[in-house]
Parts: sequence; structure tokens; C-alpha cells
Amino acid sequence: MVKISGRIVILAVLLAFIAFTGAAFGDINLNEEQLINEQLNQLNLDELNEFIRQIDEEMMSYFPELSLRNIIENIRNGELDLSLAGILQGMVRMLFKEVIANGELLAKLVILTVVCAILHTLLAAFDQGTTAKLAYAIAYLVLVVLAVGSFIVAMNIGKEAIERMVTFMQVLLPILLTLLTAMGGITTAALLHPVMILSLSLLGTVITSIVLPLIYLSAILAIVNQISSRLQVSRLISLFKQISLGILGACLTVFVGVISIQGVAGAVADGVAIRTAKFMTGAFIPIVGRMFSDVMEAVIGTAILLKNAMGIVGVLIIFSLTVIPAIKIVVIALIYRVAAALIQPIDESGVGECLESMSGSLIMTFAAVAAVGIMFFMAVTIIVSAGNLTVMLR
Amino acid sequence: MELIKDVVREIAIIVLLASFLEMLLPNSNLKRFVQVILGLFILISILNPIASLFSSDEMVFQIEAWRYQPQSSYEFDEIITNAERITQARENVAVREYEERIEKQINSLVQLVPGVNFSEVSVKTGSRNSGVLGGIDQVIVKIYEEQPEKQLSSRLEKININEVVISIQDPNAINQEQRTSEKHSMSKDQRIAEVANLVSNFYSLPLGKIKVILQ
Repeated sequence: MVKISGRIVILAVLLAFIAFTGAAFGDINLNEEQLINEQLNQLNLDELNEFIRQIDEEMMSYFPELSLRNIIENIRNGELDLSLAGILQGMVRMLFKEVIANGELLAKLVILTVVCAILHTLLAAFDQGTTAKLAYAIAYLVLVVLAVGSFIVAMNIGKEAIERMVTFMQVLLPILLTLLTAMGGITTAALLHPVMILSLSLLGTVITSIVLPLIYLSAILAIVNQISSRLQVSRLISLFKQISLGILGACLTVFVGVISIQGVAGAVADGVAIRTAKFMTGAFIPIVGRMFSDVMEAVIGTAILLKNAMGIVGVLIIFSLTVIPAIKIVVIALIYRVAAALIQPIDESGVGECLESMSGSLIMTFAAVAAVGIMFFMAVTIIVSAGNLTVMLR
Repeated sequence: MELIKDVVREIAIIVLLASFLEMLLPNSNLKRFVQVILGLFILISILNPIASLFSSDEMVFQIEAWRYQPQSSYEFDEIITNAERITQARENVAVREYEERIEKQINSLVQLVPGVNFSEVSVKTGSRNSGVLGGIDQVIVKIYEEQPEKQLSSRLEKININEVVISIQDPNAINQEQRTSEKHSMSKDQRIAEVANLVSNFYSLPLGKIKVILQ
């Protein structure tokens, strides 16, 4: 009797073991929402939410609404709908609104250029008379004042956009690095943190205090260059432009290069460290070690989800911060170009050339804003993908 | 940057002056000389600040960026502290889930011991601070010979089986018979020891970590 009962117990234990291991290593059904909320509560998201609120206010009528919670929820359900058509439509609507808003400027520029052209013709008719020359100079100066007014506005838009992007990155970066550290990417975070903080501030300072002023000064020189036909400073203008483009290019290359190398190096080190830790857990905790590492891995999945969602929100905000000022700058540049094109048949005085040169400077400002946007976009992408690489190496 | 701004300002003034002189001067050969002189002025206005850079005693070319210390609102220590808080919050959920799973396992395991009809298990696992994270620190098993009334009634409320028809010979009847006979044959201490040994062998745990209470 004892022998039979012993056998039954052994059999039952074996059956139970098979059943339990199935239960233990099978589906881990944790409450994802609770886990995500617990992690979100630990993060300081006030500043980020404030940014999102401001962006939403500015872009309410053009782009779909941004919301951190909605994006996390959508990514969880695998249905992130960014609606490219909606964004493009919004951009086109914004472009037209800006063109209409700046239509007045175009009209003023064209009228004054026509006046300038007529005065220049009179100058020839009256045998280079000083009065006509003076009248032309005054008309030219009025035109320049008008153009410079809108030019300064556009330059300030560019400068503010870059400063806002830097501030936003200073808000987003600690959140992304915290999430990266929380999912095991401590080496990546430790490597990226000083470089990122330094390069962000440095980039902002270099572009707003060297590149943009050089572009501005080159535009001023372009205006001056048209005043006298004999004293030319066009080579100084191209020197300024080349220096500003060179600095911009160097910033872009160095920033992206350094960050990508550090991101990958750190990710590999973290991946190996986590893999070792996982093996140690499995090996050192008898029987249930595997179950433990499985549960831990399942909960880390939510941290990756959170980090990727934060990355998407970051990229969308950087996109918005770049697109709004970029459209405004491009519209003013476009208006200068259109005015220059319209007046070319009657213009002999070089006003059109001056407008075209100012438009070129504005396009360079746009390039500076876009370059900063691209740099920050890549920085966010690299941090997010470094985290994913860490997990992939598990 | 101030230097370049000054240069541009000077150039603008000189060019304006040149255009005024152009208007004021009569049409003669003099104009050419004036133009050359003003051109020289521009040259000097560009070269003068550059020359002053080299002649000054201070190292103006020293790059400030190397000594640049950004005012970061977030220090890395703060990032680490926040990350630890998040990890802790996440681990707490994971550990709770893990403990519940082990409790269920042990619960089912213990009920295979003859004479144990009902059991309650509580498992404590090690934290990062104390011992191995995830390692089983303590197992408390409460075993009952008879299912307590409270548990029974709560179970009965949940289970609602209308009719069970079993046509074959019921093996549980045999098991029940065996269990009843073994139940009477094992003493309380033996039962406790068997439960403790079973859990200890199954999870490779020292007996000291297992506490069995018979109720």
C-alpha cells in the first residue's frame, strides 16, 4: 500500500512539474497599463507636458493633436496613425496663410522697386542729374528699410526656433536618458549624457551667436553693396556666407558622428552586461530562476515601449518646432524672390539683386533651423535605437 | 562677433559716404581718386581689427568652448536616482507577480501530500538590498486537514456546476479511500516533515527557509 501511494506521489509530482513549468514559462500576463503608469509617475513630465500644450495651441488648426498618453496607448495597440496626408495638408494651409499675411509686403516691395526703376530711368534722361540720383537713393533706402524690417523678423523667428529646440532637448534628454538607464542602458546613458548636454548648449550658442549673425551681416553687406556701383564688397559677403555654412556643416557632422559612435559603443556594453546578469539570475536561483528572468524581461518590455513612445513624441515636437518657423522664413524668402523676379524687366539699378541676396540669406537661416532640427531628430533617434540595440543583445 | 559687426558698420558708413561724395563731386578725374581713397579706407577698416587681434597681449584666440561648462538643470546623479526609482517600481510589480506564481505552484504541490486538503502559501523573495534578487528567502505553508468553512463557502459561491455525469469507474474514489487510510496512518509531525521535504526538494531550498504550520 505504501509502495503504491509512493508511486502515485512521484507520478503526481512529475505531472505537476510538467504542468507548472508550462504555467511558469508560458504567457506572462502582467497588467501593462498599471506598469506603464507606475513608471510614468516616477518621471517628471511637467515641463514636457507644458511644451506639448504650447505646441498644440500653436498648431491647433493645422496638425493633429499631440498627447503623450494617446501615443503610448496607440503604440501599445500597434496602431500609431501619424496621418501623413493630414500633416502635409496642414503644412500647405499654413504656407498659404503666411503668403496671404505677407502679401502686403510683396505689394510694397514691388511698388517701391517700380518707383526706384522709374527714378533710375529719369536719372539717365536728365544726364546723371544729382537730384534724380538723390531721389533714387532715398527710394532705395526706403525699400531697404522695408525689406530689412521683415528680414529681421524672419531672422528672429529662426533664432527663437533654435533656442526653443535647445530648451526642448534639455527637457527631453533627461527623460530619455532616465528611461534608457531604467532599462539597463546605464553605460550608454553615462557616455551620452555629458556629450549631449555639452553639445546641445554649444550648438545653440554657436549657431545663434556666430552662424546667424554672420548670415545677417552678409545680408547687410549685400544691401550696402548695391548703394555704390563702384565700391563693391561682394567677396566679403561670400566669405561670410562660406564661413557660416562651414560652421553649420562642421556642427552637423561632428554632433551626429560623435553621438552615433558613443550610442552604439554603450549599447553593446550594456547588452553584454544585461545578458550576463540574466544568465546569472537563471543559473544562481535554482528551479525558479528562469521564471524570474522571464517575468523581469516581460516588465522591461513596458519600459522599452515607454521609451519609444517618448522618442516618438520628442521627434514629433522637434518636427513641429522646426516646421512652423521654417515655413514663416521660407515664405518671406519666397516673397523677396517673387518681388525680384517681377521687377527684373524694369529694374536696372540692382534692387532685384539686393532682394535676391536677402532671400538667399533667409534660405540660409532656414537651413540653419533645419540643420538643428535634423541634428536633434538624429540625437533622439540614436538614443531610442541605442536602447533597442541593448535589448536586442539580451 | 562684435569685431565683425564693427567692421560691417564701418564699411556701410564708408560706402554711404562714397555715394554722397559721388553726388557732390563734379564729373572729373577726381572721382577716380576719391574712389581709390575710399577703397583704401575699406581695406584699413577690415585690416585694423585683425591687426589689433595680433598685437594685443591677451590670447584672444583662446577657445572658450573647451572651458565651457553648461548649466545643466539635470545632473547625471539625478538621472540615475530617477532611473532607480522607475526600476524599483517596475521590479515591485514583477516580484509580486513572481511570488504569486511560486505561491500557486507550491499550493498545488503541497496538496498532493496525503492528508492535506487545503493550504495557504506565502513566499518572500530576496530584494536587491538583501541577498539575491529573486531568490526564495522564506516559504510559509499553512496546511489544513479539512478545508476551512470560510474558504469552502467562498469557493462554493464561485463554482456553479449543474450536473456531472461520470460513467466510468471513478479513480478519485480509490484515491480518496487511500488518502483517508494514509491520513490516519501519518502523524501530524510526519505530515509537516513531508510537506517541508517536498518543497525543499522541489525548489532546492534549505529546510530552514521553509516553515510549515498545520492547522
